[in-house]
Amino acid sequence: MSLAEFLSGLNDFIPPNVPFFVFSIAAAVIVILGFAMPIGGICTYIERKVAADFQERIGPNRVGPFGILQFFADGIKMFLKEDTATKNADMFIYNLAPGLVTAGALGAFAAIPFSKYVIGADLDIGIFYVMALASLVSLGILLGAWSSENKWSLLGGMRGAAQIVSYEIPLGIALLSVVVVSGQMSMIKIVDGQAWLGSGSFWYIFHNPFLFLNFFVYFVAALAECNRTPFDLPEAESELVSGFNTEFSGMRFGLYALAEFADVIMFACVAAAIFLGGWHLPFVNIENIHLGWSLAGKSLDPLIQTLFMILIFLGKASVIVFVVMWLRWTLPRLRVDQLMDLCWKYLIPIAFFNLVGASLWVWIFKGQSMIELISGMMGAG
Amino acid sequence: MLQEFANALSFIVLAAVLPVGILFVSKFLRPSYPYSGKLATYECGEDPVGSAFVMFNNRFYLVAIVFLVFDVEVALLFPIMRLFREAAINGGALPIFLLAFGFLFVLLVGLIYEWKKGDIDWVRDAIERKQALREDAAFKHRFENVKDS
Repeated sequence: MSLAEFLSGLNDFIPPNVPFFVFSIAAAVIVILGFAMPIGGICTYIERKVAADFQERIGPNRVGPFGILQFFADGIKMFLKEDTATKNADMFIYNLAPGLVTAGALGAFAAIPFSKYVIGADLDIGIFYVMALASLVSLGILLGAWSSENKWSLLGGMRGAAQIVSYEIPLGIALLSVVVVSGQMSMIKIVDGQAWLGSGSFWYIFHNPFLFLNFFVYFVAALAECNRTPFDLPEAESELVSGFNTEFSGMRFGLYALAEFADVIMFACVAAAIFLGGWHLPFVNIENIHLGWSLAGKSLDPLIQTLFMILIFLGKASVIVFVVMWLRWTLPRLRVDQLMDLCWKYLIPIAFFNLVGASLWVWIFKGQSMIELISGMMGAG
Repeated sequence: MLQEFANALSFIVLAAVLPVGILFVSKFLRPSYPYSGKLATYECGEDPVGSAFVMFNNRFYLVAIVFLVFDVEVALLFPIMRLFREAAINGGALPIFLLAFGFLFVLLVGLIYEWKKGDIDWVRDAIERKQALREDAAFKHRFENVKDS
């Protein structure tokens, strides 16, 4: 059940005969304006705070308590800044590019399963949809870099395009290995395949050794897809000034910055959903927990379960986002040839090997997981 | 299911309209005092030299071509492998396995060919230079041997 259907089911509060598209737009507004953009903004603040902690500084602490409104102030500042473009810039593409990046990063949130009932669009091809929209980002970076008529930008954008395009392959193969194991492409069904049912069905990262390895392939590839350190070659501020967004200022730059973090959060959410079990916890099945609370004769259990599911899901995603921030202050940047070697000579063969391994595992063990096999053997013994 | 696609469409439309709306609104609020210095291409404070469309490594083009094949292949494998689990449990997985991995095998052979040819080494010049140095050293070694004898 998608969020729009959930909203249309709240018939106590809503006048009758409202057409369905109102609900689907409302769902999009809730997820994008209510979740993705604020979280993207707050993440820029958190990243600065985390960076400050790693370097034993204080970090932003002026705007609001603990500086938590810093992102809001930054947003207003960017909104009111003069927005210049170079004289020879290709204005149409120059304006289009930040929009493409933002549309790709934010639109992909439609297929992120926050809980069993809170998903923007419960598509049968959820994974496909996410991959398709995420690859819009590379297009936006390349177009923005090319149209701004600047050598730094051009080099950064070319690097960015080559990098994102290359790392899309291991990313896709890592996702494919999950599809092999789960037999599903809908995000909700993939997450539901990881529920704790007592029989030992568990998160796909622990399904078999090949998926365990492919999780790390996915993580590295996703880092490169988001242009995060150690793969921040398109920006590479010590070599290319600011890379692909050198000539972007004001709100156009703000959109790039927002899209970058939206992208990180999106990939972290996908990792949490398909490898780390989404809203499922080990040893408990949240759907079986009934507190029995009720309000005005209606059971509150579904609502409470949904809240818990969202919290668990976001908890997992935020752990991954923290690791991404942590890596930024740990690893040095790769060189271009190292970047390409890592992708084509290591990640792609490893991911292919794991894909074949995962399919053979599913074939030989009839889709059972490692834990199921072990518990089956212990039961037999 | 169509309803779900409508939901996804509303997400895409909102995500596309949002940046346009933001840029449009901020147009009325932000100042605009352009002059030629401000509009010049940024080249670390110097006057820009020549066109920005400089020549760059054509290796990027090769990467794009290799990527194209692999991406089409990954996109094709998704619907095939979606059926694999059911087939593995109920029998009949062999044709799917052969279809998917036969296809994949051909691609991998292609990758190995590219690899051996050095097309996925980013700095091919460096490899050639290394080889030239090696030949140089061999030549020098022979030359010195000749001189000694």
